[in-house]
Amino acid sequence: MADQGENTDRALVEAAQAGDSRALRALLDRFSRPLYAAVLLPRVGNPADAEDLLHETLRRAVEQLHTFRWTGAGVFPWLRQIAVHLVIDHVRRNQRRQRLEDRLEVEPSGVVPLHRADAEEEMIERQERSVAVKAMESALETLNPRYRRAVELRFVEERPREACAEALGVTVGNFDVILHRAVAALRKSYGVR
Amino acid sequence: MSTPEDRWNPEDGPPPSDEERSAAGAFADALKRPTSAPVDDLSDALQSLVATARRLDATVHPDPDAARAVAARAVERAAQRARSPWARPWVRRLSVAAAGLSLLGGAGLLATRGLTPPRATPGISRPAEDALQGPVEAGAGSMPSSRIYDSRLHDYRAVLLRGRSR
Repeated sequence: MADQGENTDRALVEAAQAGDSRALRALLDRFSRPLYAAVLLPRVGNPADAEDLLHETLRRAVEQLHTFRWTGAGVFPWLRQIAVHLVIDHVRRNQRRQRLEDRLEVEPSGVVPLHRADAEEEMIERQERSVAVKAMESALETLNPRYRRAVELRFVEERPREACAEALGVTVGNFDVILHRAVAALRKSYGVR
Repeated sequence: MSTPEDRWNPEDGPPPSDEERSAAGAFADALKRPTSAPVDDLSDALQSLVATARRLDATVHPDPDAARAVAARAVERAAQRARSPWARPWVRRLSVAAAGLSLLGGAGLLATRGLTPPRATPGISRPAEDALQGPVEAGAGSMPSSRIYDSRLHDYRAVLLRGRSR
């Protein structure tokens, strides 16, 4: 069954490389959603930027498909690499524009998932999302416990500001300050790779 | 008399300034926007904070329907682009090769022109016999050394003037 999935993907790649537009479209269809939802959006945050980066990723993939050489990991890691490089360029461009002095943090290479050519899109998306969640958790661990709690209350549990303030035992105005400090600190330690 | 804002917990770091409170309020207002709303009107610092908040949101609360719609748009656009001749590697390679050939041709032409000596430019080292065989101009010295000197000076001026008029 696994071999069948791998053979299908390989056949699609080879057909697309030979100029078959339907095969190309099938490949892009298969991987564009995991690329957007689990690779690009969790790294850039802004949906419009993530969509632009997805367009650019697919454009480059189409142009460079003839350079792709098949491996057991399939075509997704190749697409992911294009996407992540684009994200890093995007972040650096923004940093230059905003004159930020923050270092572009990177995650340890061990958290990059090992993909298989026969994996379903949902599996790929789950694996990628777990990488994004780990990156978020590691960044949260660097925060003061009350700052971390403020982020969890507001963004993970999605509680209203008033409820968040009450949970921390502070006024809403003070909660806003805590959350502002927490997100500013988080921005510095939130990796993009 | 103390206001609620005065009850600052020291565990939360140093007490905020009015400026920090104002920035925190602006951030709270920005977070009220839908995640897909543009943020271009915000300051760069605020945009960066909102992007971080949206990263958290996208990580924890994925929106499969929105992702599907974005992916469909991107695939459609990429497929359209792939149908254009420019998407074919051999077309791009051919164009690059043609541009390269044009450049080489231009460079070759320049090099050839640059290497060709100026048309009909007289040399300034004509044999002395030529200078001695010519007629003596009015007012010029008739000594051989003067005639050779005058002849070469004349040639030198001609070369100089020709160069300036180019």
